[in-house]
Amino acid sequence: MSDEIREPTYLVLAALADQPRHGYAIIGEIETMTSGRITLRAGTLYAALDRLTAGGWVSESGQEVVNGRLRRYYTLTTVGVEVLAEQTERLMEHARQATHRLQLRKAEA
Amino acid sequence: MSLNTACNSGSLTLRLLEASFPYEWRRSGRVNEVFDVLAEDCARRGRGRPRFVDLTDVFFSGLLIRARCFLRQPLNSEVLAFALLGSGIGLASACLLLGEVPLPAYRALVTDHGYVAHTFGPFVTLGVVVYAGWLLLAIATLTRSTRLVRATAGLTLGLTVLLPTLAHATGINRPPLWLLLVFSLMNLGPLLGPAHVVRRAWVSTAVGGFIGLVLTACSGPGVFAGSSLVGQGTSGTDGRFSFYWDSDGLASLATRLPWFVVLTAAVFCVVRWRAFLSGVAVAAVAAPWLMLTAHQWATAHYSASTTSTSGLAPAVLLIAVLMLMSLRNRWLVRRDQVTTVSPLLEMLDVTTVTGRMTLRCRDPHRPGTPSRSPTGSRRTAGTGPRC
Repeated sequence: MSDEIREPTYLVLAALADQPRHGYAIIGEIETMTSGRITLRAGTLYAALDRLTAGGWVSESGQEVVNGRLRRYYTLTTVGVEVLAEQTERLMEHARQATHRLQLRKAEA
Repeated sequence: MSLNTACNSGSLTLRLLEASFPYEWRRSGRVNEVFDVLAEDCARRGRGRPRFVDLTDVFFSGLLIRARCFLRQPLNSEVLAFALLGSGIGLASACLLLGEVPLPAYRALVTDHGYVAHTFGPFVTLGVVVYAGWLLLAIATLTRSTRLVRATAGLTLGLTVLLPTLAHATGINRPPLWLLLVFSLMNLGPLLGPAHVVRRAWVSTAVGGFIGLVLTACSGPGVFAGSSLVGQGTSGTDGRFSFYWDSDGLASLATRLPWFVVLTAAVFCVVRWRAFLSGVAVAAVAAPWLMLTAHQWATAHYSASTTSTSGLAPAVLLIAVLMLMSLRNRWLVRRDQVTTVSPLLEMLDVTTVTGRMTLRCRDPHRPGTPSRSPTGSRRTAGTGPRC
């Protein structure tokens, strides 16, 4: 269905996996997921959201006004869920392979 | 840093950031959303202002989104009509000034070298009739009269079609047929385009005319190359201007660089216009001229060329500055369309005033001075001035 996607894109999809989130919440969620290793900048996030929305992986699910500021919520579409699952499976497979090889190396040593 | 300098730099930054995003994003307030997120992030990290790297990120992301919007935009009859009209006017003005009325300095040199041809009065070819038709069309679009625009377009098309016959009968030079064919096709835009497009065609006219003027002005040394293309029976190697192609001298990179900057600025202006596809089409049509100019700058080094180019520099810069000034207000989000006030405005020391597109700095002697937002609600403009 999809080629390999870049890490920020994957993380945005992962951040939206459990529930719809607005822009700043996505940044926070990604920071939490990566233990602060990756912090998405605002511009990068919205460029990614624009691309994902155009690709049909993410859609706007609503908006609310908080403190006079508009917040749009984004959610994964069915296609987005499939892509995320596929990519996650691929990454897990890579991780399994890497782990296996590391164990072999350890055994040989 | 002085008060004004700080304010101006803040508002300029904001304008640049806003301008980097496509029109739809500004109109729907999505740009404000990006600014809100940036401001929230700064506040959470305890920063008084966004870092340069964050602003750069927003700017380039905006450009990226703009590029994607452009690529996604469908090509419909409206866009096509705008493109054809703008391109036609741009190309006609460039052809007229480049090919038909060489600048005095060049004309003197041409005369000195005894060039004699079947010219059309003071003009090089009969093509001036077509180009003049396009300039009339440009004027007609300013009236916003659909009937007048269509009538002028029909007249210009008729002249274009009849030109080869006229040239044959009179023995006067004419532009090459491919150029006439291109002009004929471009005529179909204003002739057959939707009425509402024709009424709004002045935008396209402005864009096309501006690009044509810039290209022409930037093509000082390219005048002869342009003439050799437009004029019948001449070429770069054996035509009347071959003198320039092979001449020696110096055209430094320093001469070329300002033009590149001006053209880049012009492209930015055009691309952010609502009818930006028209501008892109104009640029596409004018690309051969641009390449020709670049080639001339790289090869023609005659001192007269350099002098003429230098003389044109202030004119082009003036045009570019006037264009930028006329666009100044458009660089701002229309305040009556703004529903929220981004905290980034405060971080950048920019305050909006009562629905007008006005930017001002907070009074440094009255910290916390309340100002009225465009939506009518009162808000506090912060506590510590950074001006």
